[in-house]
Amino acid sequence: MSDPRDEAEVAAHSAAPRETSARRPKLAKKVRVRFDDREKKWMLLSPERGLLLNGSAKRIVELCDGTRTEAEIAALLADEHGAAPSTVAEDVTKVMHELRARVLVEPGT
Amino acid sequence: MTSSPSPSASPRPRPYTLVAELSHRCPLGCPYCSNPLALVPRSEELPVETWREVLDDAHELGVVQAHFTGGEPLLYQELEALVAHAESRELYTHLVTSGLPDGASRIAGLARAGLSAVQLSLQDEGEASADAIADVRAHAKKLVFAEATRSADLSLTVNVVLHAANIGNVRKIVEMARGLGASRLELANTQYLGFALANRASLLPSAEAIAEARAIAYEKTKEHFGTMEILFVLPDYVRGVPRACMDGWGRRFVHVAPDGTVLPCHAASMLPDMGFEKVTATRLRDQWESGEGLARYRGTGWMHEPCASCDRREIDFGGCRCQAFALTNDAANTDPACKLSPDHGLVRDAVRERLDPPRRYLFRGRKASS
Repeated sequence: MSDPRDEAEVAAHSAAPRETSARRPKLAKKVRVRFDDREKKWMLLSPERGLLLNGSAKRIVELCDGTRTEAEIAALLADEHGAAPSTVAEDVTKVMHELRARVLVEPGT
Repeated sequence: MTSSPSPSASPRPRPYTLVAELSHRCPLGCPYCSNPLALVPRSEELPVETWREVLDDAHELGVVQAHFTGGEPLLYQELEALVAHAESRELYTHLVTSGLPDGASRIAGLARAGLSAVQLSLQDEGEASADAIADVRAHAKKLVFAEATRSADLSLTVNVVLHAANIGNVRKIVEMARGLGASRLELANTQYLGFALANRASLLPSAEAIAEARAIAYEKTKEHFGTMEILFVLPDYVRGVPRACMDGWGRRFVHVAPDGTVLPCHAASMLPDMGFEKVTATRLRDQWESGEGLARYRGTGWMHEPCASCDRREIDFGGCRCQAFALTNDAANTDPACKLSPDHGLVRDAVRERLDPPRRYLFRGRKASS
């Protein structure tokens, strides 16, 4: 059996994002989002990974329920934080790219 | 005035992952297996109550992930009960399996017990080659298991260990994994410990074959972006840079062997005079705090040169202690995979002396009782 991998050894990992504007991202079934009592932060768990989520990342992940486009997620966040949609959109794009690269949202969503 | 700090005074790192090696028994005989040559027999495997206690202690220490592995974890009859117990402790549960002997009929029950994800090992793309590597007819059953995993609505990672006999098939392996509906594919070059070290001359691929496989993996990563994540783990033998084995000794991972021995990794039982203890003698939570073996190579204080003054000492932690011991007979030496190691010639010689074509392998478990 294999043992867990050091991510620094992983060579073939990055790739360019594709057109995603019409998609409605939905968190993959293998993902578990749990509150970590020690760090007092939310943690996103998937096979062999744990990512600590800051406040806005947690909210983005939460909004990936298959009913909203990325633009709608960004608009909602901007509204909640009283921020400009353009700055929030950048954050959303970044988080979504990470999630898609690791297939943490369902393919095609 | 100087005083050396008491080891118990320094805060312990938090372990994130428990590797629960339920049984060393395995239906497969893969010659690349990095399990120790001395396998734990069935009679010494832990009872389910003890594993429950291990899971409780792991949770208490801060662990968030439990990998059920082996050997073959399906050969442990109470696997379902352990998955349910881990789930009740909010641990992310990952089954690392060959799918044999009865995974296809048990996977739906494991999903109901709360299993989070499955990793299936495959030996190659074609059945004849895969079965020759496993030394048993397994490939067709594994494909059935993959389908059952999908029916049970569980996410699938496919893991293929790469070596001379299959590294030329990476393109086909990627398409096979995609066809099985895998959302993640690990292409992991062999780690030369245990049986793999005994078979090293026959398993080592050429540097050209590795480079080609890596290029294909990179191309396929882009092609399958968003659908299947592909990880290509470069072999330390040709990199000249050691791997950060287990992310550092006794740091983020804690490993419990089938007989309850607490280890920093699955291979460390090969190291002599480490003072490793079983959970039946000292509970996991206490061993993590004060276990002698787990403290031995933690951090950087144990290092000699060239590690002690190296800029990368907290990146790769001097590489793999088991590999250092296996190749130089001293686990405190720099991993010879590092080009800065005075023993790096051992690795270069091994690459040069690889057998092409391979000779017959020593298959795993053929010398061991089960």
